[in-house]
Amino acid sequence: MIIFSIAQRELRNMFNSLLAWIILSGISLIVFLILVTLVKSYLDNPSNSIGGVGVTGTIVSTIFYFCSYLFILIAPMLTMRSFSGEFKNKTSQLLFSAPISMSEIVLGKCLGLYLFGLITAVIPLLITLSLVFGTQLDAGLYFSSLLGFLLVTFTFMTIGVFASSLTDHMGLAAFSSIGIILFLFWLVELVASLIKVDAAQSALQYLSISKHASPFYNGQVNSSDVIFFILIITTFIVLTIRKLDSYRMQH
Amino acid sequence: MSRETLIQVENLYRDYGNLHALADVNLTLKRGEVLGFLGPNGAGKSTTMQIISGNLAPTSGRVLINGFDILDEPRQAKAALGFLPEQPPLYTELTVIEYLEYCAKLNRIPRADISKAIARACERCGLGDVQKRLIANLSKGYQQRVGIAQAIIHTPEVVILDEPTVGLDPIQIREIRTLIRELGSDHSVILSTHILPEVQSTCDRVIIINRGKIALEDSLAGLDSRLRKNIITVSLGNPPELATLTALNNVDTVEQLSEGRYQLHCSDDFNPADFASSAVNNSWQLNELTPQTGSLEQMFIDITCSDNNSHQAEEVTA
Repeated sequence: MIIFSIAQRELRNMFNSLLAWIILSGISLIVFLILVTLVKSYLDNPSNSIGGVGVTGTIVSTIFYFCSYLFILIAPMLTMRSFSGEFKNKTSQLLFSAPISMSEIVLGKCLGLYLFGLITAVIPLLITLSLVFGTQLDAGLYFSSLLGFLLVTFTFMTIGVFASSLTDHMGLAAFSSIGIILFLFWLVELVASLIKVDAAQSALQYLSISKHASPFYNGQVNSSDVIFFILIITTFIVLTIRKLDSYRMQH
Repeated sequence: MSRETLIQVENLYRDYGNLHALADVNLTLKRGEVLGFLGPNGAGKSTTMQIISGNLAPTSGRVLINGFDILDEPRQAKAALGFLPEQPPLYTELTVIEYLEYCAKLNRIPRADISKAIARACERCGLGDVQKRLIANLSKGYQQRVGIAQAIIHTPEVVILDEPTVGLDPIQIREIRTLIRELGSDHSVILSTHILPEVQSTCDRVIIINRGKIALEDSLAGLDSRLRKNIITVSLGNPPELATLTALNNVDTVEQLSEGRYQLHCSDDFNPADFASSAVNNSWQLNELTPQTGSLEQMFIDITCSDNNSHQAEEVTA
């Protein structure tokens, strides 16, 4: 399948450069440090456990939550090359003159990035699994946190791919994806709180990524939240395809 | 077998804002033909190549490749097409083999045939020795060959090469030209270039484009005869007055090259035999009568410059 070939290329491309390795080792270090800090504070005073959710809630969910925050910066760094880099090196012409459709190109790119998201998820997964040796873990909360982390990273990656399709300047692509992510992650709630019109306010609040993400870290998998993420990912994939189709019109 | 049309470009227009990059470009490419697409920088060569390869959408007009419209049925059209852009689209962090493998996959070559296709492309482009090296470490000539290998990996009916010899040294240029000529034996090739000898040494037919319009289209043989006719160098032992020569039938202007040696610029009806007989009749002692194989370069400059002038004139009147 052509999508998998493109995904594989995208993934290889990340690991061919230092970036992927730096990100993976950075995340390992950060997750490890947070784990040590959280475990220490938990041991010092177990009753502080947030909302009485136990060790999984205080430590594992917090770590996944924090890791998804890291992806506000990591996703744009990874995705800025996916189209901007190809435009800049003119390698996009290889893709555009091959007998493949824009949708296949975009899906392939996104799939490659999602695979990287999965690989990164292994790090907090393994590090927090080490807690098994000392305590019991809440499997349900564990996996809802993991699912939340994956959905949020996939969303950020897709937004990054879209931003990267806008320009052949990689820095600009990274900045705009950080902008879009920050806006959808929590700025949108800020804006909503300023608006006095009810309908607009609730519409804006609905767009907030963090609002839809937080239930996952509390052990809730709401189908409405899952659908929200699927919708937003699909929207940005479609926008990217449209953007690339119109790229041929402008340049 | 009749020579079927592989590429048909009809009434192609392309605007960038107010700038008309292409205006009413028509061209056809037959099977087994090497077409030279010639023009000064900025004439619209790359734009045309980009449109034919599906990288750019035309403002209006259509492109048929092997009978498929590039915009309506892009997959079938692009399957018949190999494209080497001006800057070869190389992933420099890959080895030659890895890169070609990816290209093979992009062109939907079945998994079982990929290694065969890579071996064939490498052999054609003389990449045997460098297959395992990183593209980034290859010389520009080899990188260009990798670019050509990429364009022919799926044995497309049509290969489009956009200025394939830019930036190469003379030996590399000769090698690439040989390669292009070889490609012409089983692919149809469109070769875009601003280098004239390249066209003379590789192409069957030439299209000259200037300011987004096709200024001239002819076979190379037709061009040669067109060039040969009009300039004649004569050398006379006993030359008459310059005015006498100018007054001859069908001679437009005369240029004195040295003592007794002239260059006659003639109209299309000029017959050298007439000149020879008048030289004998007037005892001018004809020593030399050489039809000048005018260079394509001269013709190219004539076409492109005259057009520039008329364009300027238009601007003045407008």
